[in-house]
Formats: sequence, structure tokens, C-alpha cells
Amino acid sequence: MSVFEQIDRVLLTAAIVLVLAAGLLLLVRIWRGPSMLDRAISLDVIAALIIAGLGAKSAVALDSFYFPIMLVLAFLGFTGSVGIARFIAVRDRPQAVTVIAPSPAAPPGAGGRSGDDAGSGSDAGSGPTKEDPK
Amino acid sequence: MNVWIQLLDTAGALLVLIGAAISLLGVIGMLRLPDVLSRSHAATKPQTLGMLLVLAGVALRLRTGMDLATLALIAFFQMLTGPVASHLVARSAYRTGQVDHGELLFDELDEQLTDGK
Repeated sequence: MSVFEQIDRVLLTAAIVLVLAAGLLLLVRIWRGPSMLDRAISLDVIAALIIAGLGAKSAVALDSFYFPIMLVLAFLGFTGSVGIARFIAVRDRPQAVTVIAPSPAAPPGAGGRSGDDAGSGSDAGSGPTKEDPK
Repeated sequence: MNVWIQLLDTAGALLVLIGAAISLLGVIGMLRLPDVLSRSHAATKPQTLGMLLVLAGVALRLRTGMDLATLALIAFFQMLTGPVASHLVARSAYRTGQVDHGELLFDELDEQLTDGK
């Protein structure tokens, strides 16, 4: 009996370690994601990882205390990325996928970039040359 | 009979471990792939397959009816809302010009947009 339980404990601890490592690696993607859409996708994956981690914790402890939290995360976890994709990413510079990349690393040298940001507000109507989705 | 229950527990723990490993693989894909669309492709692995395996493992370990129903609801809502967010992100990437059109084999949305004008 104790042998099986030891095996279970080792497997579940390894699972929790893997989920934590995945979350840490995903923080790297959020940190240097070139555009806001990458961060939106990362937010979705983080919600899925939190659900997986809570599931692993419930499997260790054999209780169902965290199931409502997992349910709410599965139900509402997509709203953040939908909001970003709908309202914030339109304000991104379209061609700035390669230009934006060094900008979080060097915010002080962003003198021209702040002008860029100021211009992007007025640019939001004309920046995406394709028509507004609706 | 006792042995079978313990085997069920160990199988559940194994499924949780496999799901966590698949989540880690998807996150590594998100780190290494170059594009928004390909990163979105990699992001679906933790969202559906990894999480479903973890939930199946938990369901094998907690074997009461209420917990099974809650886990089924979690899987249902995750699979319901994941494609919505993914579709919106991909469409926003297309509209803001973050899709490399030279890499696409088919671009039916472009035909629709240019014909619609």
C-alpha cells in the first residue's frame, strides 16, 4: 500500500514541478512578447496552467476544495485575451513587430517612441488600413 | 479489489504527469515559435490536451459523482471558450498586419476582403 502511495506522490510532485516550470517559462514569453497579442495568448495559457496546477494539487490532497475556482477560471479566463485582441491590439503599430521588440528593454531611449505612442492614438483609425471588423 | 483501486490511483497520477508534461511542451513551443499564429497553434496544447489529461487524472483519483460532474463542466467550458479567444486573437493579428502573407498557402480571408470592396 505504501509503495503505491509513494509512487503516486512522486508522480504528482513531478507533475506540479513541470507545471511550475511551464509557468515560469511562460513569464519569459509575456516579458518579451513582441506584440500584445502574444501576451494575450500567454494569458490564456496561464489560465490553463493554473487550472492544471490546481488539478494536480487536488489530486495530491484528494479533496475537491478548489474545483469551483477551476470552474470560474475555465469560464472567465478567456475574457482578458478577448479584450486585448478586441480593443488594445488595434492600437499597436502594425509594422512594429520587429521594432517594438527592443523597446521594453530600453524605455528611456524611447523619446521618438513616446511620440510614436502619442501618434498611435490618432493613428488608431487610419493605422489598420483594412476596415474595422464590424 | 484493493489492488485495482490503487492501480486506478496510480493511473490517475500518471495521467496528471503526462498532462503536465504536455503543458510544458506547449509552453516551450510558445517560446520557440516565431509568429503570432504559430504561437497560437502551440498555445492550444496546454489549453486542451494537457488540461484534459490532468482533469482525467484527477477524475480517476477522486471518484465521486459530484466531483466528476464538476470536472466535466470545467472541461466543457474550457473547450467552449478556448476557440473563441484563439479566433479573436488570430483575427486581430490578421487585421493589424502581423501575419506574414508570403508564408500562407491559402488566404481566403484576403480574397473575401478584396472582393468585398
